[in-house]
Amino acid sequence: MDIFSQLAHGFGIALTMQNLTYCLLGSMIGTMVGVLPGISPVTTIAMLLPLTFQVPAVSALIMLAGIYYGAHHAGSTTAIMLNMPGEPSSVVVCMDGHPMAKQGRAGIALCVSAIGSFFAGCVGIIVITLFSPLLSEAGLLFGAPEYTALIAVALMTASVMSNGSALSTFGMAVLGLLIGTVGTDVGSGLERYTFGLPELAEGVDFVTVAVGLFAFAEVTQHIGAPERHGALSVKFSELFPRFADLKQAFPAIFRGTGIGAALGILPGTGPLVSAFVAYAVERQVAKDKSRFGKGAIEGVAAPEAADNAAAMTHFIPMLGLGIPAGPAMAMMLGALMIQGVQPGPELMTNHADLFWGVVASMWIGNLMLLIFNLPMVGVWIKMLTTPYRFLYPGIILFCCIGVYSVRNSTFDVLLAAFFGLFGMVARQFNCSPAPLVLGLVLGPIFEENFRRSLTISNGDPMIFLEHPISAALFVLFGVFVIVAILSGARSRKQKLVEESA
Amino acid sequence: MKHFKSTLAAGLLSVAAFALPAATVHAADYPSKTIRIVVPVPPGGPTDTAARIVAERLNTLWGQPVIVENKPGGTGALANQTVNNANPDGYTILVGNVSTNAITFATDPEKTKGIKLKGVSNLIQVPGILSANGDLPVNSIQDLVAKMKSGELKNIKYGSGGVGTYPQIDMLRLMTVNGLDATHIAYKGAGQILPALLGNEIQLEFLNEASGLPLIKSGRLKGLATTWTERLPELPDVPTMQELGYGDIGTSAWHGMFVPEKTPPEVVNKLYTAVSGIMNDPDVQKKLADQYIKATPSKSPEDFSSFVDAERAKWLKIIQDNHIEVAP
Repeated sequence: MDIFSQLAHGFGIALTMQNLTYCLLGSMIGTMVGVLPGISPVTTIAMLLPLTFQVPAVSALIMLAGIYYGAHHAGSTTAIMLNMPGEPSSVVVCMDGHPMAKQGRAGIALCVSAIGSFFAGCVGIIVITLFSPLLSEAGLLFGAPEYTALIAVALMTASVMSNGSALSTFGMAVLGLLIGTVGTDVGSGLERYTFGLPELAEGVDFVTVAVGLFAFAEVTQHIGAPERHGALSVKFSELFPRFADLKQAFPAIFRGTGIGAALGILPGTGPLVSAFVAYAVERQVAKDKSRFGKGAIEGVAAPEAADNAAAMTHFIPMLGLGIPAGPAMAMMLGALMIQGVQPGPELMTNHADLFWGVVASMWIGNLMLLIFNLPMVGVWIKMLTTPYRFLYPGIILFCCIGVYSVRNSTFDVLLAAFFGLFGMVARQFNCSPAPLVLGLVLGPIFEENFRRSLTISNGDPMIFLEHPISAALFVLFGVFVIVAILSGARSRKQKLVEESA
Repeated sequence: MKHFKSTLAAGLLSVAAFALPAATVHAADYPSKTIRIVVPVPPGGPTDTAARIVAERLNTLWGQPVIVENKPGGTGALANQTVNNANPDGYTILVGNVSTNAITFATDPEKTKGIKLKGVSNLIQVPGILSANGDLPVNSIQDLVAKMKSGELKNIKYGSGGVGTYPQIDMLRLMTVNGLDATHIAYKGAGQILPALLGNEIQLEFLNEASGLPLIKSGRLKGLATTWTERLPELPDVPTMQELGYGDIGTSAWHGMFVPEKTPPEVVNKLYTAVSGIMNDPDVQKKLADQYIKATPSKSPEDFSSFVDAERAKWLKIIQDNHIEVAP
């Protein structure tokens, strides 16, 4: 009851004209940033941070939060329409979203992802509202061994991230892991694989690789292709999902939301890892696995829901304990501190107006995003009728701006171009870029935590089994490995039977 | 075509005509165009905050656009090189800190070779707090040392941003002078260190005041000592490291402004006057105090330069005395 009266108080704050305007502004900028490939919410927040110095703390955080979840909400649009992630964590949506668009089902994919995002966002906010203090404590149960085990399980999902051969999937994942080792090693302070270039000392940025492998490589696919009047020459038979589509999508949205809400709470993982795990789970529970990668609606619904649920619950460590769970959260913390608001365990009690005002604004913002995104479906479809020669130069421009702005580095733009070339070649050999991206993201987290665990235990690997959460996760990991081997053997046997018959 | 060529030539000539005088520095005109402040860290955190506050104020003061450019990489190597190689005209400025412009010079001479920057002024200092997990059964450093010596406390671990960062060096020295041993674990930034300290994966850590204070006030962490020259008004009961007889162990990280070595003195002085004025502005000081940051401008550019030189010498000695190895 108390919570409801406080939430009502929060709505009183969020519904003032000023805060409503900032919420609208945040959601709108977020949507724009989400749709534009390459430009990530982190850089946008960094650029807009100084502007928030002049406004009250509540309004500032309402706007910055809006940019963050707004970008996650809209990130799937470009992934579906153009096979380019509009925002880093929507790389997963490309895998089935774009095939759907090619089949003329773009409208359905967009609608399902908008509805899924909205639903997941709502669940995420409910979790924040009811359990923030509790869950920020729960997040502390995850130390180095627990993260090691969790990431080991998540790495297993690489095996289902492509439709190519097992060898190419494995190869791309390993390449991703190797690229992840570039940069300064936290443990020893040594630089690895940087060739003395200070530009590589901080490692290869994820945005750089994603833009290269997805956006730039996609553009190269159309070089020399006959010019059409539109980027896609299919008829859009259906704009809005039918009941059957929704029936198929909703269980996936539920599962994705659950996974995202849980993984978002941990400072070490977050939206992107959640989306990968949700996609892998969908593929495992599906009866007909062969549909994936060819436009399975669950392959859009689940990762999109996970992404958005995690984007919401990712606020919990910050709001509950003052822990910056990622670069975007670190900047929001900075914005609060500049305003003289001390984030920490007492934020909810000492700054109740701020906490409840922001939570209430999330409800409003989420609704605004649904209203932006659903009617926009028709507009996005129209975008596909724009000829390449107009569409792609603009996209390349925005990608370059996005990559450059991550750390003001022209080197990164060249690196993205290199990854674009690499992606072009990889496609010729049917190697999917998703496992590489997964390896790049998870590899460093795994290595850091693995080594940290062993330092803590003085080199004793039993630490992974002594901690109950990590032991349970490693058992799960073992089960996955056995299942994968058995199912691999079965399908090979089946193939042999079919061939001999 | 001929017409085009002659137009092009004329164009180039006129560009050259305008560009030539601009290449020589007119200190009297300074500043007459956009000023770039390069920062060796990603956005967020005290170095970035200091640079942004200065940028905003310089802009109002001079009416010229002042942009902050974050160039993280190689503990400041990238930003240092960028400013070192820039035109020495006062339009490219660095805001560096104790790590990027003193400690790295001691730990990694290879990386900092050829970097010659001139100091303008110190800007801010960030007090540190030696913080312990709230459940650690100690209430002071003396208590900690006694219980570690008697073996009552075993397996004590501390965190930092890596070998060769000041929280690591300071803790190592604190342990060494007391004849103790603790395990060091490296983390990437406050986002990883705070959960580890709260979740008791590590027990000790030198935190900056802004990160540590709210957790200490709520009882989740304990403040054992501060690195400031006097007791912090927010924590009047927590002694300073100096008070406890630890001399110069413990760092209140400084953040200051640098320009390329050959920048004309008139430009440096103009910058210094503006920047020290900004740092002495009560409004700015209040803004910084809200974030538990102290405004500490230098007395003169020379004063800051000799301070930085002394700091480099100090850290070099510490690193040699404690056999800290970062580079291979």
